[in-house]
Amino acid sequence: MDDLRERLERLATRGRPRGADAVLAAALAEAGRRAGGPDAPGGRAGAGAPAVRPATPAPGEGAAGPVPSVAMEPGPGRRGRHPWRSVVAAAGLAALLGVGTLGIASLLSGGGAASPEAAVRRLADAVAAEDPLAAVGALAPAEVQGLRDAVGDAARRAEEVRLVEDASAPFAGVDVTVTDLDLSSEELAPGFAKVTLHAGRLDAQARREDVSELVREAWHGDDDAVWHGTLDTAEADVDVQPFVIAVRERGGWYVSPAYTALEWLRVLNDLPAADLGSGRAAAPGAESPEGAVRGALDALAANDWDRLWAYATPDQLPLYDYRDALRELLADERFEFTVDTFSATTDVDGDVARVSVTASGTYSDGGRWYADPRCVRWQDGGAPASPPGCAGPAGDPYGPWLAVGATHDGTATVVRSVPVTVVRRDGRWFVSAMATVTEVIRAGVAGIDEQDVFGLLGLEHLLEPDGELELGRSVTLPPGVASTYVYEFEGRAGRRVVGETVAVGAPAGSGRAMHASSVILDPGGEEVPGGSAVFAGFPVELPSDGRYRIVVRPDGDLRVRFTLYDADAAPAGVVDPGWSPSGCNPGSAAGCVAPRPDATPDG
Amino acid sequence: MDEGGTAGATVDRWSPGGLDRLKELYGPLRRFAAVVGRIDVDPDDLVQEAFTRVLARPEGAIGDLGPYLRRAIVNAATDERRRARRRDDLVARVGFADVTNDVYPSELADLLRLTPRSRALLYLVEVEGWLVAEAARATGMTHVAARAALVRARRTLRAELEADDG
Repeated sequence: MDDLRERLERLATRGRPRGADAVLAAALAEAGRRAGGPDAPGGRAGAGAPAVRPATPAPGEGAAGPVPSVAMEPGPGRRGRHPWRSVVAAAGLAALLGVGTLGIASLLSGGGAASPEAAVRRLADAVAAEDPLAAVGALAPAEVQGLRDAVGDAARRAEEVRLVEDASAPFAGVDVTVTDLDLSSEELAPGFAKVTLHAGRLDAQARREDVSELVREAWHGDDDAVWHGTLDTAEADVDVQPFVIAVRERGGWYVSPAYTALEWLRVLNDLPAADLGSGRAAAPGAESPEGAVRGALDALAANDWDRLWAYATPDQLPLYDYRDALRELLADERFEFTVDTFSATTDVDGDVARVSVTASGTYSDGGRWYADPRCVRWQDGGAPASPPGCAGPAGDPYGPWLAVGATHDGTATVVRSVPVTVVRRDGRWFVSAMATVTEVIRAGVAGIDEQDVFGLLGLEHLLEPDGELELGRSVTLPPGVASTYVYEFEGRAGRRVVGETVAVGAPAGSGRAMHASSVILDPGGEEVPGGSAVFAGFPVELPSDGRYRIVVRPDGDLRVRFTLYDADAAPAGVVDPGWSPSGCNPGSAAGCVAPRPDATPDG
Repeated sequence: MDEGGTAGATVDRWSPGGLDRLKELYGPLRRFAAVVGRIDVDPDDLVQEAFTRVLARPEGAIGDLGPYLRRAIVNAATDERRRARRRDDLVARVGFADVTNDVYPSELADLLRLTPRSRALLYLVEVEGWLVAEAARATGMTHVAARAALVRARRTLRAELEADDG
């Protein structure tokens, strides 16, 4: 490791330090600018000012002049566009949306297989037949039950956004074959078996003529055999022979995703064996739905893992069975938070309850957390106090992207909350992580619209424009929604355009300079090289007269205002000082980026 | 909330002694930032961003400045890395005909391919001799995750080193 230390040392001493005084002075100026907004004394003209710092700062720079928070420079040459990337991405999204249809199968599937190996072969056959109904039929019913609620929404959404022709056949156009399976099984405990995969081959191929019309539009090239993958376990270099866990339920054998995942976790970390089936027999749960949620929260706050697993639905997520392994794995893990207030409202429907929680407390570093039926918010320690709730920057509500990811507004991290699903087993209540996660997925799927899909597939030229753009005139994008927006403008051959973005009402600490990405499409619908760099302050030259489109994707957590200028008439500071009309700029030429003087270690 | 007024007052609350403490931390933080940040990002910019964030808080609100500032540097570097990747993707979408991969100084290429968090962990543990638990706290990771990341990073580097030698 001496060599490693030496290399780390070399890295640690790279560049020319500006010195403590200059950096601190610049930070003070920047903090003051953020506190006072873009018009504060000493501040920049706006948050959209260029983010690129000169490669070699002038002595003393930063104390009074423009100071970006983090320099972003034109990177070196980039990886080329994979011709089938968008198709693969589309297939992935289709699979994501199509997973909802899998849940239908769990309603329709018959009994299990006659043996553990038969359950695995049944799953392989279903995959090869691209038959999602049969595939889910091979999985443990209790575990996939949680997907049912997402089925209708996801299937309808996939059709609505034209990603698939028929929601009941989301994998149309994809051929999968599974051959030469060599399996063996061993019983781990009554009703539990480990099925080891000694050999097997999986091939997949996509056919253009059978995918949806939308995906065909995005399909570049004429070759039908666009994607071909092979997985041959005999040739794989693995430390652990691939296996799955099968469980016996309702008189038949099924593949268990949950037990398989936990067993892999145990094996890879060399942890104690599981007490298989113990959770179903002994996990105590709680007397009421609210009691289960509160109990789990208190157990987590106390870092009492055994007690926490006791509230997990044993036939869906068998954490209780793996309590010895998880206790060892999490031995050094500490969650530091308190639960100071807690109240809940519960909606019970048979053996399923949805618990909406309003609670608050503290966490490490002096932060406070707050949860209500709309959001969970972690306020940074030392941040200015703000009222509890889910208002985003400038009071705007956070958008649907909260459903699928956290956002940080400069002082707090916020995620959308969903009711906690609690289920009853033998008269006791357990928290259903599967069903709760399904709620999150449903919310995420609901947030996907046609703009997202068209943007993903690079088909923005087929979208209806959101409006007309006038050069030099700002457009404020609708708040709280992270999506794709398309604006049209009149362009002339030879004109250079450049843009800037501003985060409307961004709080202190979120001072980023480029708040949206962009793509410029020429009158023929082709992307104009360099169009993705206009908001970084790099002008792009329009190749011909005609109607152009700019596709704008704002960052997910900010309300964004953008302006596109004629570069010759742009206000001072919009065009990056490092831009050269004939030099190396983003989009100007492949690999045409001069290295920074301090880009190599001087150590 | 009057963000401007509040934050502005916060900046004013830092005493000369507090600012001196930041100055004392500059040297080690700058070295840390040089390891954690992308090769084309000035380490001083990362330190400056960390200082800026801490100056927005009341002096004394953060018990242990060192780990807090290092975490801020890691977050800023990670954020910048994501942003750069996103921009790379967008640039790639333009469809340049003949583009190349990222180019790093060859002897440091393996290190620079690790995530900022992994580099931060390696540096704190291998060079500065921190305990893994302390390094985990300073990089915003759990102890278990930090241990796993260190194992992965060392394994990756060892494999690449052996491949180079081979």
